[in-house]
Amino acid sequence: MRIFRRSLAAGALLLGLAAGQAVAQQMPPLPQSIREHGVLRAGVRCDQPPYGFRGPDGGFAGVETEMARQMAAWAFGSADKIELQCVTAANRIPQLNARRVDLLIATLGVTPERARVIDFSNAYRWGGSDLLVRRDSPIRSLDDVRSRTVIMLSGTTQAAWFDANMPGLNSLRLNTASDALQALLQGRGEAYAHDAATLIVIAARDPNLRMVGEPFAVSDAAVGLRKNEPEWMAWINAALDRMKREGLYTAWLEKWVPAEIRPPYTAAFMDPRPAAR
Amino acid sequence: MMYGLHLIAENAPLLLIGLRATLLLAAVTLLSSTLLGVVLGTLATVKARWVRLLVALYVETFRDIPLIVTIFTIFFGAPFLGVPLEPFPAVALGLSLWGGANGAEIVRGGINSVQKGQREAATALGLRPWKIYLLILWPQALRAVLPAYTGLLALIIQSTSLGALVGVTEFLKAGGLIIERSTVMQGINPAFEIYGFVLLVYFSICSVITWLSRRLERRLGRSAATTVRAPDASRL
Amino acid sequence: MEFDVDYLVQQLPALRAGFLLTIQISAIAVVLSIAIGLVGASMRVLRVPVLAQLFAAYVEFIRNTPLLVQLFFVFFGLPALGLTLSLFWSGVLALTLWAGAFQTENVRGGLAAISPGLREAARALGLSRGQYLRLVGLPLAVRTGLPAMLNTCVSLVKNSAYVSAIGLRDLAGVAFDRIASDFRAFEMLAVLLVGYLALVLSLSFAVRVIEHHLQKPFRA
Repeated sequence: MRIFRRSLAAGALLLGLAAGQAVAQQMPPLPQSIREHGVLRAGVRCDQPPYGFRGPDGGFAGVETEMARQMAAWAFGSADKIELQCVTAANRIPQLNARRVDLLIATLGVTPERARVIDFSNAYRWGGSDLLVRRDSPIRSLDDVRSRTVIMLSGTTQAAWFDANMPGLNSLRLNTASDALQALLQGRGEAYAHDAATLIVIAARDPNLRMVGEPFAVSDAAVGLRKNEPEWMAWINAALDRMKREGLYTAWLEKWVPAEIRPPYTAAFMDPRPAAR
Repeated sequence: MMYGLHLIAENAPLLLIGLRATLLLAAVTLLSSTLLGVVLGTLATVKARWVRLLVALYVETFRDIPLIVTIFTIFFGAPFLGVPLEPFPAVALGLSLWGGANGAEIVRGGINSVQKGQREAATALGLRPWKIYLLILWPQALRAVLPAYTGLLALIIQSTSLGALVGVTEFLKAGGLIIERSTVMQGINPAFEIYGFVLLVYFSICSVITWLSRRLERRLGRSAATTVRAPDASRL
Repeated sequence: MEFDVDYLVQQLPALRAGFLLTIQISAIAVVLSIAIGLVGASMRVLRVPVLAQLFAAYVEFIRNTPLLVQLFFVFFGLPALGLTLSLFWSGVLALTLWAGAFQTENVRGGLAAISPGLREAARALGLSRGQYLRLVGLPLAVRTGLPAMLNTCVSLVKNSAYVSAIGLRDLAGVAFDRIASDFRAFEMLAVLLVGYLALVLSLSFAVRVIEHHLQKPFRA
């Protein structure tokens, strides 16, 4: 596995370097303010597999982390010229505006409230939400949670959705996916609402949990940037385009998502966004 | 239980990084709190009433607002004012404003504890005000102030843990990251062992400092007329 | 930088609920922590074999560790021991344990301030140590220690804001949660600053009035 990973990284590096010359003209110029740092300072999730999490060796892992590394390679010539910062749903946007990071590839859903304070790139995938419950739970549909306690993360699309659609709901708002998962396992709540992408991975790993399977709160996910940085925005959008064109998403999904659960993730990156509640 | 202990050993580097950040944050806070405290505490003993009032206002404000609210206000509020403050400086600033308020109280008490006669005698001898402070009041206040100040240091070290809430990777946050990874990737939750360990480390560090503070109080307290009481953690 | 008053008005119900929660948690923790203080100080003064040392260790431990970590330990760590408390009770427990340590010291200080003459007189009258405590010691200790005890109570109310860190939606928790979703930090933080200042200042003022009142018999 390690050889496979190393050769993949080497391949990406070579691809970046070799193609860099020819494709350099195709990418817009890197803004001076970004170039000055010498490294790509990106905010990623550390608690949301398979997009952003900590791998078995403790390092940053996940599809979105790969995206960040690829951008670093295209911007600075090497995937190592990167400074990854763990962010949570509640602090990712403040971290961006505080200039701790220069971009967010952190399962950031596009919402109007967020658009007031930051700018979004073009969407690179969409994502839906779902509920995780214990295997023996009587909850079978989204409406079943109305009279129950639902666990979710503060500052997420799920929190906003429940605020808007089930205002009287008894919700337990925590800070990280692990806190939420623990709370579910400890019986502090009857359901855990989060991005389906993460819940699928967790459910696959724990036979005592299952997903309710009624998607809701579907939104696009995009890269988050500070407002009024048009040059940077242009570069990011070009990078995202390039990733899609060169089929990099497929490669990364193969690396980070086991084959048996891969189809929904591939659909998220490749297919158009479906409609849901 | 064994798994948790094993995790601690495995993640020692991360924990050490966190501990380093904690101590660095505490050091920066101590420095700025001292500066702020000495300036404000001294100002709180001048004759001009309005100056003393202003200082009292500042001290009261920053001791009455919960420290967590102060730090979040700076962290979330600074970008709104156009000043992007990264987490570490934001926490350092918040802690310093709070530490400075506590420090001011200590310094004020220390200066006031110096016998009134000293000040009057110095004035009678014709010494300029700044000289009175520099040569008479501060040196004597120092002895009274030292035990209380050491106590404040212990409190500062403890309050750096708030940095974890805004994304500073200090000791508490380091522990949290370990728990997070284990929970999501392995489904095992070592919160009991990890947070227990974090508590023990804080206890080890702070109890030494508190012990030092008490010893100083016993040693120096004998000569000072009234010892300044340390800002009890209960008045945090 | 606009201040959206409409948004603020919209959030008032949630903020009010949070404020009530703050009061609720603080009230329960105040009562319980004073109880701990009375028991703990008594144990130490009576030198009850194991309990006196236990309380001493407990006080040392609480004073030398951060409240935030204590809170995390209670909420995230205790379930491993089979003790899974709800969010509310975890917050109450952590605050109670924290303030209880200081109240123990406050009462102990009050007990130590009682003149030895009174203690000897009680012994001469044949009162057991327990009776002394119940009839003479603790009442006097509370009287003397009341300022410190009340100050700790005020600090408890102030530090109840920490429970927002585990997701409890008290006043601070509601405000932080709204900021995370709606990003109107200015409006929410203004409410928090004014709210806590008002709360703590009025409580401190009340404490000072009580102290003044208690001093009446002793003033010439």
